[in-house]
Amino acid sequence: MGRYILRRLLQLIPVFIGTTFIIYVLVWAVPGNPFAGKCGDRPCPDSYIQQMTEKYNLNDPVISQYLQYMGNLLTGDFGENYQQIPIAELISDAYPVTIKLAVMALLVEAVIGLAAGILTGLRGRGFLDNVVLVSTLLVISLPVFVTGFLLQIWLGVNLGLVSPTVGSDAPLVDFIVPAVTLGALSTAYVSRLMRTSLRENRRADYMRTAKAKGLTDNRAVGVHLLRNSLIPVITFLGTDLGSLMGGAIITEGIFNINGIGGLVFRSITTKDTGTVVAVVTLLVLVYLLMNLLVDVLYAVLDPRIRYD
Amino acid sequence: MRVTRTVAAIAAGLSVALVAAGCGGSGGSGDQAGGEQAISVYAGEPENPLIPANTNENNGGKVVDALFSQLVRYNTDTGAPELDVAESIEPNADSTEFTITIKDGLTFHDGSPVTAQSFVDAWNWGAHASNSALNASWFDFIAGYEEVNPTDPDGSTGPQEAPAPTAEAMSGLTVQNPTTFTVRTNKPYAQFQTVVGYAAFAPLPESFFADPDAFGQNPVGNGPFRFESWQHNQSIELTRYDGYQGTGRPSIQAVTFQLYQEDGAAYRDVQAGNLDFLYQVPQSALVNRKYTTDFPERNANTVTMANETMTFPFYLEAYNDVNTRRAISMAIDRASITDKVFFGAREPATKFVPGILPGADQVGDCEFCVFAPEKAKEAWAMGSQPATVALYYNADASHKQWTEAVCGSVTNTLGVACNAVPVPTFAQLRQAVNAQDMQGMYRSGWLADYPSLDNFLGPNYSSTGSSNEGGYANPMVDAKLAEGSAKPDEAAAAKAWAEGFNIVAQDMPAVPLWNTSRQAVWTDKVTNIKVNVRSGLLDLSQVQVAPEA
Repeated sequence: MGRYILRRLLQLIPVFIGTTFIIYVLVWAVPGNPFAGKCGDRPCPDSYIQQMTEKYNLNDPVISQYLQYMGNLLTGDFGENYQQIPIAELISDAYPVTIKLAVMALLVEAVIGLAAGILTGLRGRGFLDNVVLVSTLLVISLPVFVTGFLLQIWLGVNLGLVSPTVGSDAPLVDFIVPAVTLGALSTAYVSRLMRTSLRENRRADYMRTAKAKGLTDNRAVGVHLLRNSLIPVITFLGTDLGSLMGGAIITEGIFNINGIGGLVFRSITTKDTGTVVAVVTLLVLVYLLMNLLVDVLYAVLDPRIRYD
Repeated sequence: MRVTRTVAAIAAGLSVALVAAGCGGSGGSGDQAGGEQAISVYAGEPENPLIPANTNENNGGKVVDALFSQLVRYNTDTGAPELDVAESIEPNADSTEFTITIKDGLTFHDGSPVTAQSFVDAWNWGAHASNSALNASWFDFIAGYEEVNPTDPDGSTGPQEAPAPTAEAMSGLTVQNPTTFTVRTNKPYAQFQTVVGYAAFAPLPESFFADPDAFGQNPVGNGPFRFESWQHNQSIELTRYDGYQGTGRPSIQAVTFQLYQEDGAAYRDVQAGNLDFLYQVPQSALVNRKYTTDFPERNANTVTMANETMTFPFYLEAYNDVNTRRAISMAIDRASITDKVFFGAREPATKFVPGILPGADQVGDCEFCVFAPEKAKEAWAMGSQPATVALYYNADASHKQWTEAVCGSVTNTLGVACNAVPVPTFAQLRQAVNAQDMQGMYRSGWLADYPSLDNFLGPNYSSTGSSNEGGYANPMVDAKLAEGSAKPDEAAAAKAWAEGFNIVAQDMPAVPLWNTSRQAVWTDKVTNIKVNVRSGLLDLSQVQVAPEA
């Protein structure tokens, strides 16, 4: 297991370099001069454009720009964005908010999704089963911005139960509605996955053996059935957390949450390569580590899985 | 199956607890400084650090407006200039030299005095090329500007670089005594007394010159509000400066600019009472004038000194024909579009300038701006008759509907195919416009930087105008512009500039579409809302917190 983890960590390096380089070149290739739109309806003065171009090395070939930037990054200097705000500050403001939102969304989808899935998976066909199926179908068919706007207007404006927008220093409870919006789609997936997985494994050989051995229902289901059925769900939750950490642009826009998604989107439209690459670097690392964690968790859940 | 029931019960219980906790904690996610006499106002993250010479966009402009006072301010209701920090501004006979005396005893927020030197040093800093200030070109009428900011011989995109500056300060600025300084211009400049109210001409304390970068994050001004804190993408807090001796002491104690990414969230916040003032409702709230039903008696529609136009690129043969341009302008049914698309939030333009601009009454009505299908067809037949026409706009703001409506109007009247073409971002559109690389007409507009006719005439329609990228050049217009600037007073100058506009209205280098107005909404926490007609911003000196009912 140790060798496996080491191998995976080493594989991080080429993936890291490749991704950051591709992203850098892609943002660099976006047409438009980042300083052309800064002056409203009149052209910016030549002295400004010249100084800004020199400051951010925009005249150098893209490889040279990339290497200079990565060199700085590896020594911890994240540089400044085109508004002359240190990028490290931007990320340290936005990332904790995104993490809060992501973890809450994951909790929502895990708790509600697993509960619904287990309930319907074990109980068999019935009224509850149909209710869960129909409601998950409904949630899957609603785009996330519809859910978001509905909840915001209904709960925030009409009923006044929650605040329509969530500031960075808002208490954790304010994040519940955005988390529900963000996690709604995944909740539906988790519950259906769990339900199907449980149903499938109910008829497995090992369950028959366990019953034949005389294990109580509780033990057979609780220890053996659930553990095995969780494998596909854990995969899904792990990758979902990775993508949630990557920011949720639409939800952040609706609720005015100052998170990573909005930051990256704004930086792309203003062609701010520095910010985009810095954030992407972090996201790549997070995502790869999450994947590694999920894979290790497999081995814990299912002893049949070996990594040498 | 007791285990599963227990699990389900726990899950259900947790969910209920979470929701209940959510119900408990509501409202007010941003604590405001100053307690009750504090209000919150909508803004977006400023594009640049908060230095007046580096601020020329709306978001930074709001904050700089509150932090700094200029020599001259623009009246909220009329937009006319009035003396503020200046005691007097005396021109000489041909408007080439101005003697400015400032009021005595005024201070910056850090206690240092506002002197003539504060102005002269600030203007020299803004003009000097090595500081790369965005507003440097505002100082180009001052004698000595060419030495501190030489022009690039082939423009910023050419391979040649601009020569290095040969002077540290402009020779036209001289300090006579702590409260008096003179400004010598390199050409007659009658509009000086109006221009000097623009944010770029703010004075700066000595602490600025020690570290301009730090100042940009922590500005010290001389205005009615002082800077408290700036959390990027979150909020900017200002509190009232109690040592302020200028006109218009505010009654509120603090104002927080809440920074939003998009205005829809801000609108819902005002509905819920989390944000006190929104200076422009989103497009979605304009439909069927929804904002008036959501906020009865707490909304205002203020006409401002701004208009929206379409510019013709003269470097494309199709648009180089005056009859074609007149035909397109007469083919647009402005009244119908402002009614159906904007629901009355815009006023069809009858002249090249907004009606409330000082001096606009002297400008004649534009005869080709009237919707006249028959005349349009006649003019079209006499023109170059291109096979298709295109109108370019930036897709990152809400222009799709009206550009398509305008194009539809042109097609219906003239029968020519018209395409409304989106360009992904504003920066891309500007870049193509600046490089004179457009393939069709493009959306443009102008907001008065200062309330005077020449602010609309010069940059847009003079042959060397900084915003005249369409390539329009008419020496008679340039002559009228210079003639006006050489007049001894602004009233006479306005007459000459108005004549310049009458010439422009015959040439139709652009199509004036409509005059812009601002639709603002607010909560019942604030009262006495006055929107400045020049800038469209809330007058923070007059707004008051409503007394508890």
